[in-house]
Amino acid sequence: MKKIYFLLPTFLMVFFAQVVLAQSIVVSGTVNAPDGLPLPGASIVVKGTTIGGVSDFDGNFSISIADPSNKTLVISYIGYKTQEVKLTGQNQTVNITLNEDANSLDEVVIVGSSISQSRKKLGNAITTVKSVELVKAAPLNITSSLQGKVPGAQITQNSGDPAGGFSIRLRGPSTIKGSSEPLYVIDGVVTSNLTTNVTNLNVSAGDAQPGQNRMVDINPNDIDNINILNGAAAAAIYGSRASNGVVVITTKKGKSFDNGPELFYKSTFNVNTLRKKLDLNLRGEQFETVANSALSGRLWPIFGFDPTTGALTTYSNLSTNKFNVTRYDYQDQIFQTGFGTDNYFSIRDGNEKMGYSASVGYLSNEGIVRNTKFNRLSTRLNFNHSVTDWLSYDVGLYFANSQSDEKPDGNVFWSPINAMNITNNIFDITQRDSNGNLLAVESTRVNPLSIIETFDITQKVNHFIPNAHLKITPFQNFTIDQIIGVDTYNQKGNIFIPEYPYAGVNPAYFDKGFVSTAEAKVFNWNYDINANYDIDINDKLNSSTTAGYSFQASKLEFDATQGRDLDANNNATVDLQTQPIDTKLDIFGFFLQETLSYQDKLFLTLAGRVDGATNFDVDNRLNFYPKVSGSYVLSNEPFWNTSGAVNSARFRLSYGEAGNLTAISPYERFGSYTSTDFLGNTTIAQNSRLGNENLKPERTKEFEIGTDLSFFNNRASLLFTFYRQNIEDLIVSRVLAPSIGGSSRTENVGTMRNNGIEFYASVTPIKTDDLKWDLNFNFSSNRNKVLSTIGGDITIATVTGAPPVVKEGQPLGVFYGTYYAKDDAGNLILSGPSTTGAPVGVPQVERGDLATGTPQRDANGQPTGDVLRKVIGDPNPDYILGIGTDLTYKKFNFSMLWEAVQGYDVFDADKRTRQGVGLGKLAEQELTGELPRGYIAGVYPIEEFRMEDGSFVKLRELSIGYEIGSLFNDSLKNVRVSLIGRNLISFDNFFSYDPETNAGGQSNLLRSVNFGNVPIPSTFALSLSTNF
Amino acid sequence: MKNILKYIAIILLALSSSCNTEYLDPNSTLEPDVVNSTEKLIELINGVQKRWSTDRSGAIYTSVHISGLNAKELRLLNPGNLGEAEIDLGGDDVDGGNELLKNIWTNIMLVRKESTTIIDAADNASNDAQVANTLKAYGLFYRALSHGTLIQYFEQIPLEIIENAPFSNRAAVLQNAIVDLTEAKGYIASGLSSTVTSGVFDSVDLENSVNALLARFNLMNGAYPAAISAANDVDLAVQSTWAYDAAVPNPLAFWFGSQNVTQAKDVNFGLPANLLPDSNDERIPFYVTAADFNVPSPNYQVVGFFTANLDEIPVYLPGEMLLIKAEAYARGDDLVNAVIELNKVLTKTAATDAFGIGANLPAYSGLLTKEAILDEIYRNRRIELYLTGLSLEDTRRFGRPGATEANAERNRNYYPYPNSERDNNTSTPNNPSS
Repeated sequence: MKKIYFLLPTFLMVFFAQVVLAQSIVVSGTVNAPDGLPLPGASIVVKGTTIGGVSDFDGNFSISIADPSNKTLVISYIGYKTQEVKLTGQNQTVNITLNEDANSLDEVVIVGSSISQSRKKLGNAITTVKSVELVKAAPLNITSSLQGKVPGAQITQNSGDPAGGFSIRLRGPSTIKGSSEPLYVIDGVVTSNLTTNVTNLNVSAGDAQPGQNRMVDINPNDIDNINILNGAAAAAIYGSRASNGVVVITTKKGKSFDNGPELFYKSTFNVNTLRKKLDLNLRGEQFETVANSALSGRLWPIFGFDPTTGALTTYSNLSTNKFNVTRYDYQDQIFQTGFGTDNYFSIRDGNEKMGYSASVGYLSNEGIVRNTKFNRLSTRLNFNHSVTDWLSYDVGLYFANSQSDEKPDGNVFWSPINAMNITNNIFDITQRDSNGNLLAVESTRVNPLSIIETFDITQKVNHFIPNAHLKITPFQNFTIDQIIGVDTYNQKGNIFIPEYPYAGVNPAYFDKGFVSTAEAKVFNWNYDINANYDIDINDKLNSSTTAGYSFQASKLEFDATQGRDLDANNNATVDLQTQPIDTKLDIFGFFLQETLSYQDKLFLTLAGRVDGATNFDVDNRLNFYPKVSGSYVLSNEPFWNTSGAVNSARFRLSYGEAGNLTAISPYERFGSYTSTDFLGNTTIAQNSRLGNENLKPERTKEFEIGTDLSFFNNRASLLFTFYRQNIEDLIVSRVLAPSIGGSSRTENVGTMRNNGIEFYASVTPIKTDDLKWDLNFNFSSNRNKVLSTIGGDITIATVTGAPPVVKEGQPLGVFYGTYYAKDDAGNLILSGPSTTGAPVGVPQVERGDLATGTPQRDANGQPTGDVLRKVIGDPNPDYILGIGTDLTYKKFNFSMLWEAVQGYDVFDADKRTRQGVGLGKLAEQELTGELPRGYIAGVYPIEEFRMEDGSFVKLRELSIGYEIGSLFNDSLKNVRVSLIGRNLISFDNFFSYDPETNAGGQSNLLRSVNFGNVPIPSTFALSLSTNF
Repeated sequence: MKNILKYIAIILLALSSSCNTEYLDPNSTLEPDVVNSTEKLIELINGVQKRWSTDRSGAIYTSVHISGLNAKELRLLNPGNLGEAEIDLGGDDVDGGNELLKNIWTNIMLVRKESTTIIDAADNASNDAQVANTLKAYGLFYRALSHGTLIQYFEQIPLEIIENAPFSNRAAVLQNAIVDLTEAKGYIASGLSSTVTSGVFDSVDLENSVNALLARFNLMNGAYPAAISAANDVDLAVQSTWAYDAAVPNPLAFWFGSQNVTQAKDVNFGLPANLLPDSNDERIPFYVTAADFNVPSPNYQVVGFFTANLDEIPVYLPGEMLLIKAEAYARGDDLVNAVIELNKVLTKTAATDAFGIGANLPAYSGLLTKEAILDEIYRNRRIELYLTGLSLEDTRRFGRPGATEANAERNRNYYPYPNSERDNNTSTPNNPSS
């Protein structure tokens, strides 16, 4: 923190630097759209300075300029072509009509912490999503507001919990060891989207990272726009922090409003429901597992018994005698209709020099699992001030407090949904004893209602994100930008699982109770300084030179107390150990970038960066990463007919390299010993992961080429990008021969590739005064392939029974497992007569020669030899398609967004669990005879049985709005009411609830596994907003 | 303006100092701090005990489950426990990807590595030769335990800790373990340093355990006089155990208690029809019970050393020493002494055994032939040494019908090598056929 002190003199000195006195003038005017309507909120800036203002409701503006000689005014508005006006040096009035630009080639987009560039200069595709698009369907968090809207982005909601985590992958997975999530930057602050689980202490989830990620703390209503930089090459400004792409979020700022402050209020009422209820076995009978006895035999679909001894036999000697039972649907007790409200109030105002924006929001939303809830209180204050024509600053403060009531989410059999999945549904779980206590269900299992009613799992987060920018223009065309930002939060979690009031619960489920208190403290700060010198070398050639430095420090502390076996006061009698975490990481980088513009049609950018991070050894940490990109605006050539069918055209090309500095944890390069307590003493143990101080950062080399086209006077547009990403020196947790004295070592031994295309198309087929119809499509397809690893397949640790691996020549995280025996025609080979009591006429596992992987058949044509494995599923989709449409008729607005994620597989662990215990649909079919007795026993050990096609087409958003306009004598203005739906419909063939799910949470490796996860709710909302 | 540029330069210089920043994990210890410190090496010895004896992936859980499911001591309660289910099915259903095989191999190899670290570091860590030799004695005990245990499940194992370590055959591995134990025995004879012994958990009695392993491994290696001699050096009144605490429980008690993985198969102890236990054998209720023995398939439950989380598990049983002597005499054709030692086991009562295991049966009255006596010794080993992890080794050594033979009494003879070893060690031999 000492380093901050050096900043102070710079801040101070700019206040005491020379003050120039000169004759000042006033420039005023109006900004209009081509249809003559005023454009409120257009930006008017004196070129090369920070001085300026915005137009008011009626498009009017007025600014005073201290030193007016040789000045140019730049007028810009999102979605319109920027215009420049040379000033006369006298008081003057300028009336400007801005032309629409669907491709927004001249639109200025933020590409760095404080750096913006016009789109036409960039060699990369950048997607901008504006506020109106973001909040149309009243999303509860930022990530869901982007679903289906960004080409090249796979955005997955991993859990349907009210604060459930999301994953974003831009252009596929970019690393194995680290995270493929993009970097989030909010108003220049690198903001953590970490998943730190404080309510999962008693779960060993392997590589899974379930739980909330911290973007959930950000209120989407505050956001003005989001720019998504997909590729590594796009990210010269952010460098190696951004090897997975960047999500640049800009919040709303204050500006001058004509009629006093803009007051805005929005209220939304949500209704969350279970979209699809499962068909369960409700047939009142089951097969015996004890001879001639209605004794509650467990696992009747897969257990038989030896006819002579009566001993249970697995998968064989299955009885066909049935007895009657009563069956229940536990879903009725677990799920509810959850209600929620989201209230938001903001006030914004300012003059041409200053502006402020303040907001407060409160969200309270119930989940679809009973007794789950998420509350978020957030408040934001932004203040901006142009002090002089060479100095401006702005300050932002954001605070959020969030609280959750949770239930265990997947990965354990004592989560609400898994408790249902693994309990034969022949128990009336609502029965109670005379003291009102719930009763036991199947031996070893937990009554699902115990979880709903008596588990108390909560977490609280206080999140604070302040930032300050300082922009100085010491002399014309030279600006220095500085940003300092802090992202800090404190996350506390409590778990209370009481002792079950009944005996027989598996002690691994903490049968005598469990309590824990955990706290994670995160403190991150970043400082960025960028200096830009922009000069017209001659009439045709412009040079823009930027040099910058960035520094980011992260600190995470985690500690907890936990214990099991509670006494009468609910205190733990057996303390369990927690491994505390205390990590520090600094990331830093320098860059120099030169952009040459020739006649506003040819643009060339050259950049180089040096990046480093303290998680690598001093000798390996600093590396150089080059970048080059070009853009050619063909339509700015004199010969181009801009009123032709293709009215604008641009080609772009870029190549860039970036390191991945966060693929390894801060201390991963060291081999070390960890201490734990045992028998009242400290013991130490060598980590099974051996050290490797020679690790160096992964290097992503990305090439992309693309084009931006506009047609029919900007009524239609098309963007196309092809990219190829090679990730070299890929860091892999290499499996070792255990005889070496360790089981893994992190090494730079892999390479991986992503190839893909991205399309974006928009068209406005109808545009009249009363009726406007917009359509837009985005399509992306990514092919990921692990080109090389070393030391065999890398097994991904999971508790779900899924067999994901990192395998050479395959996409990341494919499922590699046992599969059905089939004949040459592709038909199942059903089992033949058996001497061991194995079921007859049911599917069976493929066998053969392990060395060659070829199936073998015995004399009867039955599979023989070792059990074989192959790739049975791929969690990476073939393509993602988003289709949105907007229809505005007079005051009505209708919009719809569909998202299709096609060609990926989900490992549905729950599918098998339900069949094995007897409550599944297939178990019912075995009872009715639709499936042969023993079918489940036959398919149970075959991993391919649990592979499901995850392809889905979802109606992500649906909204019907009506502009009421003014009410109550103009005391309410712009009143709007909307009826909204989210995730209402899904077209899929998924066996369980929802293919969009992930027990692995935000894990990079463990994708597309369904294991007791909460399905994503269908939400209906009624939203009302107004200015006053 | 120059001033501003100057300040920027200063800031950049100051910030670039982080290029050399080195953060270390306050919650872990680096190698040099361990190998140069007697205190840390003692903590490591205790850590080795913990790694060996605790957890579902530790050697106690895995060895007892692999041999117990293979040689019919245990039954599987839920085939959703895939690793255990494959071991239970045996034969072709077990491959190099099996989780229990991976666990037993990996954990024992880590114990072996840590033991070797202790042995190699001892002389550097302390100038006091007695302290160093005491550290070594513990390290040698655990290394021998590792080698001698793992070789019961795999035909060959590597003895060296190097890349692509060559595999050694059973005789070489057992000989290596015996050499380690003999060296340890020498250090113990010249007196252990209380600096070390006072810091090491006292549940394991080092001297008697070293002698017990010497007896066990010499018997396995066919060195019968040495086995008898070592067994004679064991004080049968002493308890040497793996101890547990509430947070780190007895792994067998914990998982038997879950009623969701495995339980006692029956009261036959994996013995064939012609060798079934005498129904009066008091060791049966010591190890196995059931709420009701008269229902069609009683819900047999393991008791013995495995009912509560704090139950201690013996490192070796006194009865094993008597049975080692009986077997060594019998195999050396000294049938008289063999029967004398065998009778000590048969007539032992709970009151006269250090752990309360007593058959309380009449003395041996069968044929005085080598085969008959060995059969009786086998029967007693399977009962007396229930769930000690020795059953697979015993079925093989006594020539019981193997996995591919008629009336098989085990479902595998040896196991395939774990994939993690095969894929990363070019010296890995072919898998055994059964």
